[in-house]
Amino acid sequence: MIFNKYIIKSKLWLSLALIAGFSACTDDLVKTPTNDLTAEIQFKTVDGYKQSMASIYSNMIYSKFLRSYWGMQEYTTDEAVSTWNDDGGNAVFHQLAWSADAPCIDSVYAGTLKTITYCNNYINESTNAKITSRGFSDSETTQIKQYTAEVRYLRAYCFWVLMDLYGNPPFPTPDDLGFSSPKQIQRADLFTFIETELKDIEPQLASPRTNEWGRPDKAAAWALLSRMYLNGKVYTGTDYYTQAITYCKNIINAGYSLESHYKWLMLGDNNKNTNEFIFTFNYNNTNETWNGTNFFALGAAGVPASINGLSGSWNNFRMTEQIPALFPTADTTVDKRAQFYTTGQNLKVANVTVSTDGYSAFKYRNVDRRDSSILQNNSFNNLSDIDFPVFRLAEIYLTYAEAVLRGGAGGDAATALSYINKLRGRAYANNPASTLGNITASNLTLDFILDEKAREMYWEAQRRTDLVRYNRLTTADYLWAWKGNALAGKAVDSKYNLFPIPTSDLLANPNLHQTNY
Amino acid sequence: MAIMMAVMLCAPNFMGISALSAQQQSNQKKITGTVKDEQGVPMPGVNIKVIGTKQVGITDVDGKYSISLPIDKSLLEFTFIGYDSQSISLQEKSILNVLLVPSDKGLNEVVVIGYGTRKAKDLTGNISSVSARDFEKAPVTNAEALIANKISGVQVLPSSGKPGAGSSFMIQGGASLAVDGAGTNDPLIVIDGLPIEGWNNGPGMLSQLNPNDIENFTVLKDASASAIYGSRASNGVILITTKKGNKGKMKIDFTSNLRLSTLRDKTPVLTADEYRALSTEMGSKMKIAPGTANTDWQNEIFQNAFAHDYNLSVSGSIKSLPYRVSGAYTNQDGILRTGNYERATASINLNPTFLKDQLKINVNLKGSYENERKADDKAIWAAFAFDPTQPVHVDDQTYGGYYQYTQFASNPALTNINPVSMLEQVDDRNKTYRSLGNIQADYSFFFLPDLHLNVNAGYDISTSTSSYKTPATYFAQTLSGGNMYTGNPSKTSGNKIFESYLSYSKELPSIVSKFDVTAGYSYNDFLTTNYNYSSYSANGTLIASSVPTYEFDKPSHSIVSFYGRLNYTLNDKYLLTGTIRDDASSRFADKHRWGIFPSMALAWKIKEESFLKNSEVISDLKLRMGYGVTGQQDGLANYYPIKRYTTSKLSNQYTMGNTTYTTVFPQVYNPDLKWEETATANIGLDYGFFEHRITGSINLYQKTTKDLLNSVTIPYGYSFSPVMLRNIGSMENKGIEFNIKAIAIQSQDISWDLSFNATYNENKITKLSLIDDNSIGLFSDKTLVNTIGYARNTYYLYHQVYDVNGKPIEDQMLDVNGDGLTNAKDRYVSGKSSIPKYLLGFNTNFQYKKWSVGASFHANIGHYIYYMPQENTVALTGWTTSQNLNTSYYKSQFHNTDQYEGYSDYYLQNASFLKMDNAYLGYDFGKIIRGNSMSLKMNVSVQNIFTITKFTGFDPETNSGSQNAYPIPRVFAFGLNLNF
Repeated sequence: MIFNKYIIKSKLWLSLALIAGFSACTDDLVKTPTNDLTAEIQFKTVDGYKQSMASIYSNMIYSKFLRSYWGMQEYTTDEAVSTWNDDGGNAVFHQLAWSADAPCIDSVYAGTLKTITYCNNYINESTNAKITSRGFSDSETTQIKQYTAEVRYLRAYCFWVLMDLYGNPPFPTPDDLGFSSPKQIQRADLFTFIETELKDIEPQLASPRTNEWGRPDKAAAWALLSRMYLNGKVYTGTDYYTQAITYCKNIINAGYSLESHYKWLMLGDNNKNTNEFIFTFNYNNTNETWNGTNFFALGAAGVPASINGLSGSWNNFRMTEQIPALFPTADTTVDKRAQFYTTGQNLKVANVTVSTDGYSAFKYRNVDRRDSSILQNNSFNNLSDIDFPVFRLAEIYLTYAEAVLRGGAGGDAATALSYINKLRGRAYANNPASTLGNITASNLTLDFILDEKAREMYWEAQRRTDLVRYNRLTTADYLWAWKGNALAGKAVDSKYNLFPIPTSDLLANPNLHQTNY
Repeated sequence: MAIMMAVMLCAPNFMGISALSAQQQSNQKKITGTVKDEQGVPMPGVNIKVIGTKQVGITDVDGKYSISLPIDKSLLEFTFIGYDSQSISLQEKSILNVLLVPSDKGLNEVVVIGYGTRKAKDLTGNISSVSARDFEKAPVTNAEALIANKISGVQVLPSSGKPGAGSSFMIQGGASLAVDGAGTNDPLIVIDGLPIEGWNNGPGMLSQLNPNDIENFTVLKDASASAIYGSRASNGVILITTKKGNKGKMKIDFTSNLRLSTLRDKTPVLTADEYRALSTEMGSKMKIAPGTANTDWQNEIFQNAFAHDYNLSVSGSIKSLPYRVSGAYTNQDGILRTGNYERATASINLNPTFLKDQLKINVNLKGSYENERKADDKAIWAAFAFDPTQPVHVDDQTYGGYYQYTQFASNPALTNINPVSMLEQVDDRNKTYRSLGNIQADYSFFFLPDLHLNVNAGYDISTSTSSYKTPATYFAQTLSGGNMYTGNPSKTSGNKIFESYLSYSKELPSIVSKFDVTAGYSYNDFLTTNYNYSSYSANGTLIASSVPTYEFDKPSHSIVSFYGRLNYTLNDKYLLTGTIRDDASSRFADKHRWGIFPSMALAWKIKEESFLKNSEVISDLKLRMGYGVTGQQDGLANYYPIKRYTTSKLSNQYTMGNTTYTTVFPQVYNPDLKWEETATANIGLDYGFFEHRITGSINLYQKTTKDLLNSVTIPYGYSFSPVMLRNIGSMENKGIEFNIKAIAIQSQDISWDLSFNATYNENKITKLSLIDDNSIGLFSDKTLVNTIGYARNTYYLYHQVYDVNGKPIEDQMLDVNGDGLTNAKDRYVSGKSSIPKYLLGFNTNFQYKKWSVGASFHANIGHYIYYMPQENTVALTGWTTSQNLNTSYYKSQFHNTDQYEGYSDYYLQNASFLKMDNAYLGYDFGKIIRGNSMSLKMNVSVQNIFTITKFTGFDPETNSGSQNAYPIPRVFAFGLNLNF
């Protein structure tokens, strides 16, 4: 029957077609993500290199790094106690009683190593071979080399943090990335590496005070070197005071000068402090973070909205009574750096976790120089515009003075005294040239410098490093409230001059070894 | 002409036989008869085969058949899925009426296996099957609950008590490590030939299937059975067949259920008075002074919840087109207040046959609509921790009249949020439309009927809309002034599958053999589109930081496979099966993309041997041995081998000078990622005694997984994240599985069956390829390590030190190596893991006349859970606010900031348990209207009746330490089933 034949025939064709049509759609097996880029696309242009460089800075600055680093440098000292025991239990910082298992020691470790890894990746993408293969012109190549130098600078800074806090950290190299577990480096060797690295990139960095705000230049490299050299004996056992003085002079001779008003230093518009700031971490209130300078403005206990320019205090950290004692009065009538907030606060810290125990301070405020609140360009209302000065001229003056007193060559005591008096002139009279706050040469001792540094730079994440250098962090030479978990303070084991390598990385990286913890 | 066409279509056999009979009448005989089922109802659509010829037939609408066969042949075989097939020798008859009995694990039952079917007695692999008859007794709303406890070696894990949430399955201990991004332990689920991938955001995919639509569940447990699914089969395969139409008269089935869910146990936290007493002790260190209220926060957030569902199905045939249409509706409230789940489903099955049954087509279409209001399960932990001395409501309406820690209005993220406000002020909804379906065509070639071409084309598409709304008075979002997010659509997915295989079967009577061979191809493509939108505050202002960098993302992956199978049977006693599959997945880089998965199995039907053939004691004895290799690529990230740079949110830009940059970061990647492969060897014995009054099986298995995938901690500095997905080594699962079913009584009025299953499984890591000799192992998280010689994810902890009264000394751990320091060198590999050693199940059903009653139990033994409740007064004094404690505080009395307690074995508990899952009572009214076939059944049941365990945490089965786990409720159900 025709009907049957028709069906049969079409079925035959259909079945043959199906058998033949085993199309191996194997092309479909190569899939790429919709929105992500590959290295070839990202690094095709000079702008791509610049964007990647900015991204590495952004990642570190908007991460937990600054808040956690500040905690490790401040809660461990007389300068701060924490109400909240946050970041995984940071009460152990002020007690000087942490272990390798303490979660709070991990943030800075992980954060700096992550930044170093991003830097290593960038270095791998900017080798001569890669640049040539991407066909950049000579002027483009010079720009890329400068960006690479700035990335290497950040990497050097991160290694310095690791050397200062942890001692013998892992040392990831660009060749390790994706291939091998980083080896451990000893402190003295790391010192040599950072020193060599900074000197190596110096010619490729911009001249001082010529680069965009937030990007490092030669002065930033000199500042890191001067800080490293000042602490060189702690890191290597050898003195480097002469070298410290050399680099301080480089910076001072590059034309930096102090801002006239101390209270302008940590305001929301402190990007105006181009005279004094050498290198900054930039914060803008359009970007969300709770771990940047807004933490400094909001965390200071008691400080109300009318003063800090945000929405009132979180009542977190305060200082021990040892700090106000360094000032002539516990207010700004004499020394304008004594920006203590005392309303409702007790001088003495009877209880570490009670937020009204211990004076607070309104050093960080998200207002402008006319004391007006800065408009919030976000939906959170508590983000800050206060840039964080990683290096500023005041530190250089203090480093110069201390290095001279410790016997470094290339400087003299009279110049050192004049620098200190500039700081005090600004502190007493809003004018570095003023003699109102002057001290005499006989006043200028190492102890005085340590105290002056506290007066000038409290709550700027410096204190722990200074106390270690003076051997006062763990010893009975200097006691403060609740040091070692005793009300009057007590000495602790000298191992606490260093933080341990966190257990999780010890277990993950067989190249790492730990002593004392 | 039309009538002739109709006759041709409806009675093709009639035409075919008359065409042949003219030529071959002299040496043919004609046999007729009627096939009826055990209730005397005629059965249309029963397949008839004349053994030894190519002659086939099928019964008509009235169950009648008529078939011609050569005079020298006398054996007819009658088969129908779900019924025991009958092979009947004609002797001298010309009229043969046949009675088919529904199979009750009968050996003649036809079982669906990968790409084909086989009779249960001819299976060579470790396969278990459960059919509709086994689960009609207790009404359930979830398809997974249907096989709970009925199959040994299969664990049904309820994933949470959320309304509409699905369970997950684990077969034989799980072949791989199911840690984030490292694959899953879920078996592959195939519904009517369509493999389904899990549905990440919504409730479990099986929960969208109407349990009343399911005809059969087959579980392929060993590699020899599942290897045909190759790269997705390492965790076993579950094949689900839905009910088909029937060629008889129209049947209507209506079921309705009403359920009440209640919270089983509250977590014991301090009462308001106990809290006040403790805060007096803490004195001025309290962060927030206690109030005067007496609030039981768990009472405030939990409720007794009702659910109701209805299910209607109609099956029959139009002309000769069998169909089954069903629709269902379910509406379920959750025990966590404000949560609700609503679902409507419809499905159509059409099963026409054409060309004298040479072309059989199954069209399966399912559609579902789900509408969910999600209750935030973070409110559960919030309720344990919230201060019980504070009231739920206050007069001040600034924050909607809820008590909140308003002193943190400048950053609510620093505090706890009122749990009741988390439920009432948040409106979080999701709607999904989903349809999946496939057409399966089975064509047997007219010139060679033993050669079949089977084509399966399917799709799975869905579109979801989501919305999230909170008012400006919602404290948690007071900074942004509330939040409004609408995702329309939020997600769409389109998955397609095309499979085709040829199968050929042949009998070679001269060497008493038969064989069949199958070869085919499969292509599966998965594409999801996720859409991103900005959020707005409650008054409609754009929240600038929420503007997405990209409007959509389209993750996609695909799988291409070639496979083949050979079955050979000798003398109906000795069976051999071999399969091979070659798979490629887009998830792996080119050099690791393809994998080959072979298998082989042998079976010996000892019962067919002459020394047992006539035994009345032993009714079945079959020895099976198999070996197979399967792969794992499910649940992995789609683009992991590619180094990618991802652009961050627009609110994460960085300013240098006067320029602002969006930021871009490289992601962790692994170009060496490859297939994980599991090689399984097993040997089993199926047995039956006393005419199948006692049946069961024993199986021994060993599974070796190599290139085990796991997300492990890597050293800082190695890549862009502290964890990476890698192929870490090898793992072994060894075990023995036993099941037995006894029909204790089987008579006119009374029947009683009991079944018991037990599995013993041992899991061990045998090789780790990425570590140093002096390394402990590879860590999945801070307490879980994979180390050679121990189970995967074994706990690595400190020994807690106790005082003379057995109370733990806070933060003091045993200094094992005596060096005066407490560090990782003092930790020990506990050998304890969250994988049970023994899985046991028991169920029983008893029927007396119209009454039926039954119960089921299961037990998991030998697993451990790390449970660390909040029991340290630091929660009252040391953080931003003061929080409540668990009553376990009275035992430990911890007060300080501890560094080591989070790694102490004080918190590791044996979570072995025995659970009574379910008990039911049913009554069969039978026919309720005289002269009409309408019949009514009713039953009541209770689920999650009790749990016996020493574990003090939430639930020893699902806990895994999570304190936000949505508790699984106790459910009381009442159901009616009307059938006509």
